[in-house]
Amino acid sequence: MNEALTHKIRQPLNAFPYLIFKYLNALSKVFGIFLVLELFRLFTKEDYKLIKLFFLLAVFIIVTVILALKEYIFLYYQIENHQLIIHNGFIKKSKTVIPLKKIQNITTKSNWLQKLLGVTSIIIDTAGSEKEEAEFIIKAKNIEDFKNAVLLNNNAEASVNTELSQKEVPIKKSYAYIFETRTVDILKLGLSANHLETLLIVAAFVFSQMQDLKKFFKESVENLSHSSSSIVEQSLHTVWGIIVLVFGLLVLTIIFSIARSVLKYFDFKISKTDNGFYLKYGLFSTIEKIVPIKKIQMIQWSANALRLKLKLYEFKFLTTGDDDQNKKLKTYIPITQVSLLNTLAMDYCNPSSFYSHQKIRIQKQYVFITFLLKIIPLVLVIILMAFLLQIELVYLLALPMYWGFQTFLKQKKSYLQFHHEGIFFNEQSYGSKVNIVRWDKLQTLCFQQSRFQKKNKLATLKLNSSAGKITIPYLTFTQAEQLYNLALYKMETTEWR
Amino acid sequence: MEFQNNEININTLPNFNAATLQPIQQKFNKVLIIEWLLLFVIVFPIALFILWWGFEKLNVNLKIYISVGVALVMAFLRIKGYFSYKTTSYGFREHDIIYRTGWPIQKTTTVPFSRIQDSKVVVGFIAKKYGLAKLELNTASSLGDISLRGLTIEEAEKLNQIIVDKINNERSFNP
Repeated sequence: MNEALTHKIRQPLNAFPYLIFKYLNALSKVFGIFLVLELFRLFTKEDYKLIKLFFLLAVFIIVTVILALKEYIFLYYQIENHQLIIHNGFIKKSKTVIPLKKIQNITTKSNWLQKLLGVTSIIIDTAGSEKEEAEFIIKAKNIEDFKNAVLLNNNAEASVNTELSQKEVPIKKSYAYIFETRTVDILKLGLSANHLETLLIVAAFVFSQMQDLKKFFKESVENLSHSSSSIVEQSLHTVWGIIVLVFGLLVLTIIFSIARSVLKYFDFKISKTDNGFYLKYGLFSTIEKIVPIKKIQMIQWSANALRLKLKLYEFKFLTTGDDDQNKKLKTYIPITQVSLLNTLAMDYCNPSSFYSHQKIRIQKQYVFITFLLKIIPLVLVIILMAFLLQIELVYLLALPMYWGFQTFLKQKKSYLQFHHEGIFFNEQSYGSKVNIVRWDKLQTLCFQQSRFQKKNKLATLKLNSSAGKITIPYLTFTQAEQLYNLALYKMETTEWR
Repeated sequence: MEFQNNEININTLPNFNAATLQPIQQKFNKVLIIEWLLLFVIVFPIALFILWWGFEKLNVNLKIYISVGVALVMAFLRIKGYFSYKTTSYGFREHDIIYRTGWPIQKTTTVPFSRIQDSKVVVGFIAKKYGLAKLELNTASSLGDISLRGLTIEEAEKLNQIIVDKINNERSFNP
């Protein structure tokens, strides 16, 4: 291991401008609105005292510099006795000790400023914490040394890696390239994305911006929204108007979907290492991530209806804490060739090993009970609301119809297969979501029965891992009981890692 | 050692449903009633106050419907609490803990000792008056802690000690 890492190391001096940028960004998210408000007053109020704005700006800058200085001066890290130790704080001092073998993920992140300064953020994530355990900055040229030091120790739980540590093999040399995204792949993914979801995101963004702008530019925003809504109303009276509106919306959402895909998958590269996978991606910020195979708790791939037809999938390695982890840190691997699914899943649990096993399906009563307890009540609530509030809510009835058909498809198409190693659950309706979990990766099991299920000899199974849960509804009682007993037996005869 | 890979017959595996479970303390129902009353005395009036005085422009009929709805939810919570208490039971086996609770949906959760990260006994303010405690089992599961409520303090402490000993001694069981 690099000797220098055993001593307390401060973040590099080149990182200081980035720290200023980081805190400026964080503070402006919280207090930026007050500065905008003051600026607005400066231009609208004649008797505005400029000193007030200067004072606020000075406080803003001083606080930013103090926070950046505090982090630069008081944050140290070191690797000692197979532990990563992070010292931080001035008045409230903290010392975080992370045993290297408990580290689930190391993510490196560098945005344009960090690239310019030659530094990179290292994000450390362990089991049992809802957010990342530690984040600090190191020089970009030292990343490999740091990763090697952590990963060689990370796998030192068994005697397997003695040879490796003696050799001090740089991890990078053993990378075996798997695939990288091409422009055409990104375009395909963008075109086949969930445009409805994109439309909702765009609508929510525009709406929130309108709300903010309304506070400052009340009249002009209201005029704008009135005039735009009257244009929409007029367009809806003619067939051509409707066609143009729908086409316009479609083009807009496709453009946004492609932009999202570019942001998500630009320059996506994945390679296999001796002990896991190495991922690199990002347009504005380059993210590098190593996922050790031992730390993978579940694997999942999904596709919407269109992608299912085109055989395009989004693949995920789920590691501990992924259920509640910051969505930004989750890695979605774009799959454009079906054979890649096997390549990626093989070391965890071979998906094709399940295919010869019996398919177990969700029972028909699932559709009946979902209609009785969820869809019919929703229809009644919509009708009742429309009646009580005297407003037109007919179009909302499309929601229970969509949901009802989805339930019907889910019961018809979903199935599970299992063998001695784990379980494969394909949850399929309009699209498809496949979960594979190995028995030894499970934490707890839950066997669920309502009165209706008891009467009809049915049960719902919940398999809980540290990366999320799999719910398998409405199996026959015997199937659910057998699966439960098998899972328990497998869990109790293996150790969890 | 010779490598073995014997076939497993699922039907002959120990059945979790055959385990004998024991009910929780009867006194626990009193704790649940007090907790519900506190909720009823504090939350219900606040909700009504906000509804009737906070939303003056809202239709009076709608306010009545919402008030009745909230009252029904409160009543349902008490009924659910009573039946959940009635069905709650737990059992210890050689390698795991089984905990059954819930109404109208009954849930049976099993936690193998090998998956427990830590466990602790928590004595709440109201439960303390009745000499009751809960045993919290923490695993790495994304669902968080599992709490066994309605145990006497002595029972909880004894079970906690058994779990700590089990965690320390648990070795993979290889048949």
